[in-house]
Amino acid sequence: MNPSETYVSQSTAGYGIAAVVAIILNTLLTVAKESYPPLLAAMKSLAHHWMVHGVVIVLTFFVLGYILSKQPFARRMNGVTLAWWLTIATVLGGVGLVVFFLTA
Amino acid sequence: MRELLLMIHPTTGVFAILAALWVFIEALNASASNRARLLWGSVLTAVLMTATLITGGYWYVVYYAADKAIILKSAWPFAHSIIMETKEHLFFATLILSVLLPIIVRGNDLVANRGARILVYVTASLIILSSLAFEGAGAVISMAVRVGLLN
Repeated sequence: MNPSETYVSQSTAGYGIAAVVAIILNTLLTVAKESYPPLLAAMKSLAHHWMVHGVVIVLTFFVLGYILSKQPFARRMNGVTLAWWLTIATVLGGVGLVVFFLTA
Repeated sequence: MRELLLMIHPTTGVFAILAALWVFIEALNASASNRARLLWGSVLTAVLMTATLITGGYWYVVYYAADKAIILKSAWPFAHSIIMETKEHLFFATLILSVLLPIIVRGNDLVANRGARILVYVTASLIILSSLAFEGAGAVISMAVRVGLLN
């Protein structure tokens, strides 16, 4: 198949991968702050811990997305592959959270 | 005010779901004539999901503590310890996906690019499915407050 029919734009590739990272980081940060009180306390010292959490995740997405969209690999990212990564990240991220809170 | 926020939050959430569904269907029928609708739909998804975050987040930070106390003492403590905890954190994933959607739509020719089209289908589907789960979770949480107050 013609690469122009499957390769996504650089911004899509960069922000798409950043989304994968941010979604996984979202679950890891949740587990970390709920399991390690000093981290939760540090986040609470800045503002409501949930707001700090959200800012970290959203900033990660935008900053990483900007950086990654300028990288050489971003010119050759297959849209279907990226879709798979997003699906896996979202499912694993969601299941991870449910399992954590079920067992916490 | 607080009751109004708690009604605006799921309302904008439902409209965000409808906007994402609109994008999914437009992408299925991608052509030169619906490019503008695709972009508007994707931007609307992101804007409505952000509104859902702001209204729900404000309510959560300012008012939820009282409801949390009621839920934890009720017969449905799982409504907070599992369902609300999951919802308040997993929502960020849906928000990220919602912001990603217009980036994908704007940056690619969905008519010619099958890979990008599939990416739109998947991203929109993930937004819709996770948001429907949140709507249900919110209903359980609200019911848990009622269970705590009535029993």
